[in-house]
Amino acid sequence: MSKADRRRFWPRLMLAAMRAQLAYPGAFWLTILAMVLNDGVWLAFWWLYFSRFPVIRGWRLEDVAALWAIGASALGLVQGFGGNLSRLARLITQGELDVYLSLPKPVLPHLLLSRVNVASLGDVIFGPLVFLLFLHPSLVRLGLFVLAVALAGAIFLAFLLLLHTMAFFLGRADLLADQVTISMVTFSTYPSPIFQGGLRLVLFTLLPAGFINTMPVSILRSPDPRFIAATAAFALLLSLLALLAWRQGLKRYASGNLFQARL
Amino acid sequence: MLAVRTEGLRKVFEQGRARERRSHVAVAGIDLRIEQGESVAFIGPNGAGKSTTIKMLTGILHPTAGTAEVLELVPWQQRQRLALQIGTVFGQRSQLWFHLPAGDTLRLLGAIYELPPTVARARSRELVDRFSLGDLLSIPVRKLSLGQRMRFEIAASLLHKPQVLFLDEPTVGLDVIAKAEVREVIREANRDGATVFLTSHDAGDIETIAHRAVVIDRGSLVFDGKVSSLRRQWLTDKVVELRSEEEVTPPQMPGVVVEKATRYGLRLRFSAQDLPVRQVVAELLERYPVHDITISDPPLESVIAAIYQREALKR
Amino acid sequence: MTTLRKVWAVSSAYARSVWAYPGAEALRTIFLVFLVVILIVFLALWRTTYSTMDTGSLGGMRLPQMLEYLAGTEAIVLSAPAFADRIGDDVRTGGLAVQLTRPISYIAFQFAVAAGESWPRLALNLAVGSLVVALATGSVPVGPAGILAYLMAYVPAFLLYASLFLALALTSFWLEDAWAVTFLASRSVMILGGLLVPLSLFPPVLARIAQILPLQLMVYGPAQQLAHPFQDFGGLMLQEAIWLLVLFALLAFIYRKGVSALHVQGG
Repeated sequence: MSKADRRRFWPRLMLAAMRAQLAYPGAFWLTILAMVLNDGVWLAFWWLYFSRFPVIRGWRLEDVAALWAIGASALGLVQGFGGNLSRLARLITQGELDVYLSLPKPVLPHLLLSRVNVASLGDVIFGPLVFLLFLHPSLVRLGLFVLAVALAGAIFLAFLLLLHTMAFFLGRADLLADQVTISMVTFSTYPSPIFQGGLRLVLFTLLPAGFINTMPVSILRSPDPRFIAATAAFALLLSLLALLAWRQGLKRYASGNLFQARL
Repeated sequence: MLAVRTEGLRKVFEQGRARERRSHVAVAGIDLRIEQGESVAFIGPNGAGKSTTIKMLTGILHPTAGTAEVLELVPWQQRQRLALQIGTVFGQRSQLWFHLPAGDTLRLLGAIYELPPTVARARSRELVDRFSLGDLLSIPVRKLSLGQRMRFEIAASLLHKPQVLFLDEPTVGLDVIAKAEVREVIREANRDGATVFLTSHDAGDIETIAHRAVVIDRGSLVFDGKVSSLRRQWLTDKVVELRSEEEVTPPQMPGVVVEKATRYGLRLRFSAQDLPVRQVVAELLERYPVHDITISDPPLESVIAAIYQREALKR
Repeated sequence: MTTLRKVWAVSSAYARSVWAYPGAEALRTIFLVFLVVILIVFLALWRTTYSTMDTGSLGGMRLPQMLEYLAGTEAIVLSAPAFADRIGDDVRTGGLAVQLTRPISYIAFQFAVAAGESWPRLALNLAVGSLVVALATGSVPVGPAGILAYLMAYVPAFLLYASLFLALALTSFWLEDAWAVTFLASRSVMILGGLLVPLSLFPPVLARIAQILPLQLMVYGPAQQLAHPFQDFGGLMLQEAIWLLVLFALLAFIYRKGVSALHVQGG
């Protein structure tokens, strides 16, 4: 079998994952629609807010819209097509990696791409929609938007992976993962300049939402090469860390053992 | 080339968080050599280390110590290469896509195992015919019965003509007919040259599929030999069945247990170690006008029960 | 009187179950973590807003009051009962027919369950939220009067919320899945109920529309009492009472229609 044939496996896998969700087309489209509306509600809040306070530390409604466009696209792509990412800690603890470990494909991409998360597909639709409708798309701005989504996606992916990988080391980490995820997402969706002091430091290290909520200004509005380079470097570092933790974790993987319930 | 070779293979699980950390020795150092084409049953009660061993041999778990080679590959280091040459079925876990038609999973697995599309198609057709799955191809897996699903699981694991087949409780939860079908399918794979390595609690599985039995007890091998000699060696008991020409009253003989008594028949059991067979038979022939007498080893079922009970007593 | 006793028995059983099951436990800590995080974010946002506008008071509230108001709205929304799933299941699986044979009205039963689940959560959310606000702002943002007024306004607010969402959930008698309808309604409650932005800061036209609708009575009404204890309290209670009558009538109407539809089709 040729290399090209082997590469063609991944799109086929994603297609199968999508078709598995489309087994219930009614629920599929309803969920997507609901999530688009849900994201829209948040923009409506911001519209209410900015109709009273038009500029906050240099941010306008448009910047928050850009933040939602970038954040929803990035997180939607990562969690939507990597549908097993948000359940990874649970899968590790319950020994559900066995099947992937017994098949001749790299475990991590095989596992992540094997499930589509329909709710997140709503984000994937919402993000670009906001960009196209409200953010004055041009070729240059489209390029910057794609760059921002790619960087934000890389940070979300590496961060969530690192978080869930803790299940290898802590035994159970699903609750921790859910809590940190919701915190990360929340901080990622508010304007960067409102966070000051020690909190700001945390948001550029432990809970790297700061990189994401700075993007509307430092990538889309007035591109700052230094910020872009720093974000890319951070994303790379975080990815390496996550992969290292994953590889170390697999060595400690304990599968699902009956005696765990018996002790 | 050996199918499986292990030396001192050991796995210790660390459990609990920092302060109350406990270790649990799941596999305590196993030496095993399996030739290609053998069919081996791996026997032992829950928690004895069967699944842990299989998972190390398939590259799912990393061992704590010791070495293992499957088809001359180190499973946890050359996992993907090995996976192309072995097949696995975990009775408790499915490799099929729950919401997709079963046929789609076969096609997807063809791609996973890197079979050229024409080969994959031919091979699926062959397996579908042999396992009579033709009518089920378009049904979503979630709607299949457990027996139908298991036949698909095994067909899926044979798609790439694996040289070694690892089966962890392949008949668990199946009804009698489905069990027989699954056993037949595994035997056929073995006849085609695949080495079969199977765990089961079911004496029927072991008797119909395996020639060699390996008994594991709290992580260590305690028996390795033919299934037939397992029956003789593990339990020295003998079972005597006797039909008399006249009505019988059960005998009172020290060391002999009456398992069953009917009007003209008796089933007795004794340990050949304590009582010579010759002596028991002579006494019975003297006592009853014997019409027919058979002496046999106890059924495998009770051998397995004895293995598990010994385990329970030691704890 | 016996109905009340039965309702109490069901409520307290469900209230205990909120604490008893590990799954519920997990869910609750998620809510609490989210509550703490969102309050930290709100503090950052509104501190910036107050200093940008260079004012001590927005919409009649100082910063600690604003945060306490937001803690009050989040406490309500995060403890809201989830009718749609439960009732949808009851209707689909035919479990409703079993429920109808019990010697307690189905509606009363559902109210009892909802109260049993929501009220302990509300108390916990408010306590944690107030603590976060107090620690973050370094001042006590609310006194006993505020809490009393909030809780008193919350009870009818809860009944309003429960009536509306129970009525919407019962549309699963006719619709395949009432989930979409209730989802939309819950998002409307969030916006027009003043979850993140109090009505007093809405653009005037929208504020007037929101004032007419009952949605603000479910969230904004009680939360406002934390900032201004017993201010316009009589008016609020009157509004809540009137809307309760309206929504009760709606609920009774839908329920009757639904049960007769059930009898015609057979569950």
